[in-house]
Amino acid sequence: MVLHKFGEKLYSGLVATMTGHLKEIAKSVEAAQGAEFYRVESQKFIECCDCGDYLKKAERRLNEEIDRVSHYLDPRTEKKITNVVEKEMIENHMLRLIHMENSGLVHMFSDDKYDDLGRMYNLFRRVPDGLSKIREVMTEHIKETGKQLVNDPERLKDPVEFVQRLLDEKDKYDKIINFAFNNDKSFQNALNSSFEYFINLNPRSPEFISLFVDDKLRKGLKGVSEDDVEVTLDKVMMLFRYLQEKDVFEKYYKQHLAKRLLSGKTVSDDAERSLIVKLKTECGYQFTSKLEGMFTDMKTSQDTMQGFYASHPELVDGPTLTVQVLTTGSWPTQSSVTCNLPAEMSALCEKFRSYYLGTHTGRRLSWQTNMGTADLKATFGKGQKHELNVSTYQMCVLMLFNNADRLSYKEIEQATEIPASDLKRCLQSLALVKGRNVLRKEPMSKDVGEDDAFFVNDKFSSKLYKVKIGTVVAQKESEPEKQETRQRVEEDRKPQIEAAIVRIMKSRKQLDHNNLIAEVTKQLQSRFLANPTEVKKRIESLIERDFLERDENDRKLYRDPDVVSLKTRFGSNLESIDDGEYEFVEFICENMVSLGASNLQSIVGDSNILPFYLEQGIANTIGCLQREGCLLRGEHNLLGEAFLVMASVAGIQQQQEVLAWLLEPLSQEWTHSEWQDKYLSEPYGLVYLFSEAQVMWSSFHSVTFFDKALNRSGIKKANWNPENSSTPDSTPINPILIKYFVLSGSCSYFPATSHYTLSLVSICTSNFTWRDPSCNDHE
Amino acid sequence: MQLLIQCCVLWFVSPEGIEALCNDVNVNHTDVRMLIFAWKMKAEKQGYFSKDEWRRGLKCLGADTRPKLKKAIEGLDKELKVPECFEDFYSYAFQYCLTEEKQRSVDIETICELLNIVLKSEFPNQVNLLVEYLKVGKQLFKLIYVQNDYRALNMDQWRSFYRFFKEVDFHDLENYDSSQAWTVIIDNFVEWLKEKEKN
Repeated sequence: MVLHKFGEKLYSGLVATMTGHLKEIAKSVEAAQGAEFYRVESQKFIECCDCGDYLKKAERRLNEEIDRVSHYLDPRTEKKITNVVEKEMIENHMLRLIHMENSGLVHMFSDDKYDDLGRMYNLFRRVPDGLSKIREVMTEHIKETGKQLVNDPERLKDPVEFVQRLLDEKDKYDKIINFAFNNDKSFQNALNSSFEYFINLNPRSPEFISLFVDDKLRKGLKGVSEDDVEVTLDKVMMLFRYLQEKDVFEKYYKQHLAKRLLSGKTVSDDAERSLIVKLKTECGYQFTSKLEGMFTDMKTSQDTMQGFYASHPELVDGPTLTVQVLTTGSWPTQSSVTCNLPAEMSALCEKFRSYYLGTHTGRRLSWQTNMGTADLKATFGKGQKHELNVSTYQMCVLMLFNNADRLSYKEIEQATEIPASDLKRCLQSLALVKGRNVLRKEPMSKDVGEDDAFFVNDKFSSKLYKVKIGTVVAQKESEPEKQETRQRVEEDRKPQIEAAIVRIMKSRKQLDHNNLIAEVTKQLQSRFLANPTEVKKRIESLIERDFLERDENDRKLYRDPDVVSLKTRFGSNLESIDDGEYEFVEFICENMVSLGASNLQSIVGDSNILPFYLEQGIANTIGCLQREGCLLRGEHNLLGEAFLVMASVAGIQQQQEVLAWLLEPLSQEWTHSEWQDKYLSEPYGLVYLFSEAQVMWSSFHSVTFFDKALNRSGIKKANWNPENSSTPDSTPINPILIKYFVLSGSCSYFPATSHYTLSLVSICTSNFTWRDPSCNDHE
Repeated sequence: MQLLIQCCVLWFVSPEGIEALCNDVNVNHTDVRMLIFAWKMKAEKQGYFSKDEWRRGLKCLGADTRPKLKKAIEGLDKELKVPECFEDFYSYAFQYCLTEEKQRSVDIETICELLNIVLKSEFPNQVNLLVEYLKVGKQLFKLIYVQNDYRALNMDQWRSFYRFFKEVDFHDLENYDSSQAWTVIIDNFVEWLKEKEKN
């Protein structure tokens, strides 16, 4: 009876215990057997299988065990059992599998074996260190193949091919990581660092990437859809990011862009602009401001040409002139060597020059005859008519043959004054290239010699009506050109390094050597990798010029010098300024003058530093000294000029800021009601104004600088609206106030001040549109 | 030393007086002690001793008679035993060679002379090597464009020489770290020394 009543409870408890025990026993037996079993099996397989097959088998075994557990055993045993499989089949043989000859990891990469790779990834991630081993080998392999690629002289012959190969390689591994490695971030990072490593092994990578872009933008992307264009450009940007020497790329890109723009050979303006935007996003505004300047120049030139022909309708029937006016500083530096243009052209060019200078006073134009192109209509001996697209130099040479049948090299040289090396190249392209030999040379040798004679090739023929002979395509640089570019890049880096040092020291006040070097390197790393020795040299140069000083006691410490004795530097010029102001004037003058205008460009190109100088430097100085009434004219001019240089190399936004700032004192004064009452309520009020030298001078200076600044910026004066200025607090200057000045022709009563008046009048009339001065309404 | 001859000429005392002075005190005009004397005087410009400077110098030396002056000048080199004094004098020596108003650097020839006068007694071996290096650099520059063309040195570089001699053992150059705050010319000098030792 006891058994029946309590039996169930007792019995079920017993069953539970027994089952538990049995399970435990089963587990251990299974485990023990399993380990041995798998050890043997894995050994057997690894001897006879290749990597791929082995992995398949391992995977199968693993899946079998997992299956078995789910059917027969406690799910808690799964981990224990799979651990056994993993250890015996995978972990113990990892390295052997990876490095297996003819079928290991490297081979899987080469042959794009996504399945095998995926299997390996999934299996190896189960064991400690499994993935890192794969990653290691992948990194090494990519670096090795990459290194071979960038050092292979065959590949380097064709830059475009070279870069394409890089892109293909990246694509390949992107796919592998995507399909087989589950987009694992750590593998993506490993890929990036490997690429960064080997791309920078070849110092010509920046140049080649630029040439690749050039090829695409010239013809490669012709007819390609907008989306595909974006895809290609994004890929280029991805390679660009790997570059350590981004400033070298910028230099080449600028050169190539210039050639594309000037020869009109760009496939799509939108594509060009899209790439510039991408570069700007990546590197900041400084990188692209000059590039954008180039586009602006092209557009402005179009407008200028329209204006030119509109004002010279009689020229419509003659040869068509198209002039691109390039702002120095935005375009790659060129030596300006001119040649003798044919008479028809030089007359036309002169007309343009006077037209242009008539509307842009104070500028200097110099013709760049080595960069132009011409379209000539030619009729040959047998009556063949062709249109020849040639370079300016080639045009000069060909036009000579309108008046002569035979010309010797020397005669051509004398008549055109083209520099010898350019002339030889020019004649080569005209006489020695099959299908384009519009000239004939005697003797028929391969090279152009100084004793050669040239004739028109009457037998010239071409299937095309339009024949292109010009040579303005961007090419891989020759060795001497490459050296020159490299040298220019190094020179450009010096002021950038100096600016970084000055910037850092101004904010930290004092810093030890190693930290300074580290900070400078960090600041510059988005443009190039700073060489510590070069940074050291710049530090020493700055010490010599008193921008930096070494601590007296600790030679490893640098200081930003607080006050430096001005008197020893400037002597007696600044006697009237009290000691407190010395620091400002000193710093500003030294910065502007001794760093030089070109150095300035690199400092102010950085949008971070211009506000700094604006706020703390010049503005304060001038304002401060003006208030004290002791701003010497010399300094004002100096500072103002410096300011203008800064403004002219900064972008539109910066220029607006500078212009607004320059007008600030005027707008403050001229809108002030007291001031208006005193000076502008009646004509004689102006007498008082002009007799107060201080006020007069400052107004005069402000307006003069404003005028100069406008000129430099190229903003059309009639279109400048102070309300468009980006500084929120600037009061727009009232043009009507200016009119009062103009009306003060009555100030001819006061000869002492008439000089100022005339200057102001001329400036004001050219700067602002205003109503007929003869109408007398007050506003 | 040329500069002393010049300053003797321009002294308010007659040139004969200066020669006599040098004879009397039995110190050669190229002796370092004359330079120390100039330092004591705080003479501002090479070749010019003003009345005030002369007075200051005499007062410093506590000399108002000839015999006292002679004794004082003879013992001047002891003045430099204190390191702070020496550093001050060392920097002064460079300053003294700056003749033009905005001049910042001194030509190599003068630097070498100055090194000999000022540092040779304490660091004879090092000075010889440095002078050799500087002169070699100058010669090379004449023949080919050498990247490290030092035709003139500035105060910072001058100062670094003394510090270098004081702190670095020439027999232990392996520990020299060019990523430290030494001037570039010192970095190059050490490289040159290492090369020299190999050969």
